[in-house]
Amino acid sequence: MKARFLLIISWVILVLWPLLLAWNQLDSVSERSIFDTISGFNEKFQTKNALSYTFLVAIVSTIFTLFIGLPLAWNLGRYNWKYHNLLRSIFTVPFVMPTILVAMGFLSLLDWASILSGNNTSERARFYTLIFAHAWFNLALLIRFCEPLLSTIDSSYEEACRLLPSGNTQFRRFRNFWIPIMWPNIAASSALVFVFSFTSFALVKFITPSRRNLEVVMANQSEWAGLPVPSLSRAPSEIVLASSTVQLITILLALLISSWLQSKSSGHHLSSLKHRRKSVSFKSIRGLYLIIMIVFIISPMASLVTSSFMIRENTSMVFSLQGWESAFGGSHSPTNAYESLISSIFYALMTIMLSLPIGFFLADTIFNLEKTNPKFATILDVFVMLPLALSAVMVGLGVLLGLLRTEPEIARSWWIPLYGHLMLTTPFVVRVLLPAMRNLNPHLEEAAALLGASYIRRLLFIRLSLLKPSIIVSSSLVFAISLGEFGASWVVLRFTEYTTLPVMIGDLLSRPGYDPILRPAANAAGTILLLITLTLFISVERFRPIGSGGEF
Amino acid sequence: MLSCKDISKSYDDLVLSNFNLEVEDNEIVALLGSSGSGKSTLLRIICGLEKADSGKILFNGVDLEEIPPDKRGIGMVFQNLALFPHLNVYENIKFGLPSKSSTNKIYEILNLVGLKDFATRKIQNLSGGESQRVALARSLIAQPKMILLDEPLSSLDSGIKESLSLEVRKMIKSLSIPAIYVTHDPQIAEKMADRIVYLD
Repeated sequence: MKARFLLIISWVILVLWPLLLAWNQLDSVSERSIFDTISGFNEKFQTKNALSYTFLVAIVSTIFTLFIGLPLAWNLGRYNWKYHNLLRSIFTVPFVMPTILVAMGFLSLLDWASILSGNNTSERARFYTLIFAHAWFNLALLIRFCEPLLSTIDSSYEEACRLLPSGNTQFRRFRNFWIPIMWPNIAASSALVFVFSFTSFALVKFITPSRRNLEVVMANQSEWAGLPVPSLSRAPSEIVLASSTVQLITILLALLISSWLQSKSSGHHLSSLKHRRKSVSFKSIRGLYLIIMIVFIISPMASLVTSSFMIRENTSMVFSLQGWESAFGGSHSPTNAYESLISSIFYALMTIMLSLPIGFFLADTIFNLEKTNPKFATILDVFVMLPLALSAVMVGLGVLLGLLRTEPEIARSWWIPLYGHLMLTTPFVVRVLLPAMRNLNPHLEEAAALLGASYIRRLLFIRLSLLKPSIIVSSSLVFAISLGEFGASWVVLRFTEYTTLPVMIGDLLSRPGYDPILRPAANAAGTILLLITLTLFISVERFRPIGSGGEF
Repeated sequence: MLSCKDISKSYDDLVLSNFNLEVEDNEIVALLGSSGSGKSTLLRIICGLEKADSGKILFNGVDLEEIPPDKRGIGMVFQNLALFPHLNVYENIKFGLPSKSSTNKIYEILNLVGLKDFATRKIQNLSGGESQRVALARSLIAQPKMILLDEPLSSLDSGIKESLSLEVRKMIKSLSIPAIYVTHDPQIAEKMADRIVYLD
């Protein structure tokens, strides 16, 4: 119990300490109040329209994701398709894709569109592309939250509806049965889609470079914010302090609503698993819709790979290996793709080694507290999820401003990026392991104890052994998130020599001026990241516990 | 009167083969058979949730083939009862009420099934027997011309099952409508039905 208590205290310090230091640092430099800064946002070019743009992008992205995602979840959940599991994997893979790859995939699609149409890409086209990219990335959330419920609801409910006056038409069944049953799941997933679109960094930064959301504003100001030179850092500090406060309040509200809705959702005790899915052919209207969605999912990834072998010459694209040569030769970046990849894999492995045991013991503590002290278990659960509410850039800023600006001598420490990765990945470990722990048969450990097995033996041979599939899934998730992490790394690593692959890609995409090699070089480095992430996802998906619904 | 003539249905295996059944007005017929003998499939064909591969179903002389399930005037109580968990007892029963009908009928039917004080109760807080009565009430409020019951008492223990089957019989008889009761329990079939039909 003492060890568990120490672990909780350590996690609290790990999460809060740099953030509190960062806010203190910003506050000490700022002169204006947060409210004054926010009300003056539209007067400064660094923040002009940032607040309205952040909300606009998040709201439109959420609506559009629902618009294309709900029919997809419905068709996957209620009908049987040839290669059903492969289809589900295709539609859920975007969520583990590094956001910078998503940005590059859609940028390369924009390039193709601009060449084919012979026109330059307009601002409006970039905005629509951003919305499509958010929907692409977040589609998996809707499927993970809605499809398991849709696929397991006993068909007798719908049949009962068909026989009764309030459910005898398709419209009435939707209004009186499906929507009331599904809305907590739809609303909970929408809240998360809103959060991820609200805190989108790489996608906004690269797809709509002339517009800024709060996340981009904070990252842009990170270079000067918090420095102990008031004349230089006052305005940036005020902006970061105000932006992070608005962002934190908005995200916390959205997550609280999501959590409340999920608790409502678990109140419905529907009998399940008797649903016999109707088989549907790809040669139907539903099949056509599914094929369009498959093309939508695959095209940015395919475009990214093909664009790495192309170079733009005036109004056409020609085949070239110069992008790959530049990426591996390092001619356009401080490090080459090979060094950056080694660095990324090193950090990803280190993150697994740390976040997996920490996440396991946090999940185990919550699981045990649920039986003895449910209120404390809920508080701890919310606290464990806190880093997710902070967004990657805010975590990066916390580390940068809280640690590096207050203790400059540790700025060049190799472990600095690990700090952000650990905070961002541990909540995912808890979210995967906790439901798996709840599903374990408690009698198995009790039987082992009665047979004389010690705590360590029970842990190793019963619990860890039974949790192996979930541990493999969470490890791969941690590896994928860490490998592709961009927001926190971009803020922190620009000031160190340990460049990861996403930071190298970001650096190539951010270079000022036009150089036809930069984009193919970034695409080549992105292709490597894409192939690793895809291989990891496909090889691990078969370990996902059967019937595991919701969350990640 | 209901007439099932030469009904055949197969999925991967043959479930029903040229099956014939007649149910007289106000008669309760128990369909008795082992699992997989096609009892539930026959009920689903009668109420229109599935189509027979061949054969005809006539109800009061009308061929039901082209009539959609909600227009056949046949109610059904499912094996798992299919009570909607997001609605309370009152709302579940209201689901079966035609839109322009008076809601007073809900209290009348609650009274009939012995649940007059249960209107606001959540479905999750009902016992097995109470849930069964709500499911029956929901089917009856639409004033069906016939009712089909697909082993609705199967999850209850034997004592309650016996007393409830007698109550259900009484309720159906009081409404003067024909019923088909599917079960694999011969004792319940004997207590419940006017006639037993075996399906193998």
